[in-house]
Amino acid sequence: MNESSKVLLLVGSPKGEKSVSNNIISYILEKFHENDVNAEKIFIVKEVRTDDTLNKLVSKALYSDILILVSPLYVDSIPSITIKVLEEFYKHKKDSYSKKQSFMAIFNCGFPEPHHNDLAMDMCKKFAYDSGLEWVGGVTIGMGPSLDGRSLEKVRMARNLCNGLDMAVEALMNNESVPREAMLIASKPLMPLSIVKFVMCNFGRFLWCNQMDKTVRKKMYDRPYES
Amino acid sequence: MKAVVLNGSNRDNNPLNFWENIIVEILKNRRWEVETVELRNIKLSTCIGCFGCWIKTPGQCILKDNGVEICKAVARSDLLVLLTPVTFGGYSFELKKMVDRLIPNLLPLFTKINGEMHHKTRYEKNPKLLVIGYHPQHDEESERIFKELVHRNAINMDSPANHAEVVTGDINDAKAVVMLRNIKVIS
Repeated sequence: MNESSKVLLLVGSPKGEKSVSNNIISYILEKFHENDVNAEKIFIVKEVRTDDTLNKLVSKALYSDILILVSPLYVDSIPSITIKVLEEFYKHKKDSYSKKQSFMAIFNCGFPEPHHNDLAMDMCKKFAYDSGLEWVGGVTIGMGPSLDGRSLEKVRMARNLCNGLDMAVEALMNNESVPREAMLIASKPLMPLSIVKFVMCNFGRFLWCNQMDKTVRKKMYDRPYES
Repeated sequence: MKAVVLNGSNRDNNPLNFWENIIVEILKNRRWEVETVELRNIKLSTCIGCFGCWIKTPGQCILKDNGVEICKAVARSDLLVLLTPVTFGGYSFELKKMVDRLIPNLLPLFTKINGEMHHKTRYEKNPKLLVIGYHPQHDEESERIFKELVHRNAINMDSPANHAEVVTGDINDAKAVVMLRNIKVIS
C-alpha cells in the first residue's frame, strides 16, 4: 500500500451509528489510522436516501483502492440498502476505467452460528468477481448483538475477532489477501455454541421480554393477520 | 387458495414481467385467487432494523406504508411467489426491500431446526414458496447461490414446500408454460 492509497469502509447496517457493524468498522478504522493509512468510514443508510448522495458514494467507492463492507445479515442475505449500493457500484464499474481494487466483507448475524452468514459472503464474492474487484477475504460473526454498544476492545469474548482483524488489516496494508488463518480466528464463535444454543432456546423469551414494556409482553405471540 | 406474487424487477420492460403473466395465468386457470404487486411502483420503505415488529407492536411493522398490507397478505396466503433479477446470486434491491419487511411474521424466539438456530414462526400455517430468478445467461455460481438462498428462506419462513428456478433469456412461451406447469408447489 502506498501513501496515496485509499481505504473506504462501508457500514451496511440500516441502524447506522448504533449498529454492531459500526462497532466493528470503528475498530478497523482505528487500526488503519494508527498506521497513517488514508481510511474513511461511510454509513450506507445515510447515502442511499437520494440519487445524488448515492452517486457520490459510488464515485468515492470507484476511486478507493480497498473497499471493506461490514454488514448485518438480513433474512439469510445482504440488507436491501446495501444491495442497492452494490447494484449501483456494479453498473458504474462496468463503465469506468479499470483501476485495481480489492474488496473484503465482514458479516454478523444474531444467530450463534457464524455459518448463517456464508451465503451473504458468497454473494459478496460474486459481486467482486462480476465487478472486476479482487476478493481478498471475508469474516463471518455469530452472536452479533453481544458486540452491541461497546468498543470491541472492551468485549472480552471478542478477543479472537480483534486478533483476526489485526492480522487482516496488516495483510491489507502489505497489499496481500487476508490470510486464511486470520479469517478463521476472526470467525470463531464468540462463545461455545452448545451453551449459547441452550440459553437461547430455553431463556430466549426472557431475553426479549427485557426489551419490552410490560403491556407489550402479553402481546408477544399475537397474530394480527390471522384470517 | 390464495397466492401473492411479488415482482421485484427493477424496470418496466424486464423479462420477469413475461414470467409473471404466465404464472398468474396458470394459477388463475387452477382457480387460485391471485394478488400481484409490482414492488418498484409502490411506496415501500426499507427495513430499519429496529425490531419494533417484535418488541413494540408484535406482528406489525412500525413503518406505515404498503409493506404492512403486503405482510398481511403473505400471512394469509397459501403460496408466495417471488420474481427477481438474480443479483450476485441473490435477490434484487426491489424484492429484498419487501423480503426484509416480512420479519413481523416471525417471532423473536428461537428454535433448533436440524441442529441449527432459527426464529420460530408467528403463524401456524405459512405459505409455500416459489421463487423465479432471471439471469440473462447461464451462470452456475449465481444459480447455486440463488437456490441455496431460497432453500434457507423456506426454512426460516417454515414454508411447507419450496421451489427455486433460474430462467434465462433463451426460453420461449411454450417452453416456459410447460416448465411452470410441472412445478409441484403450484399444482
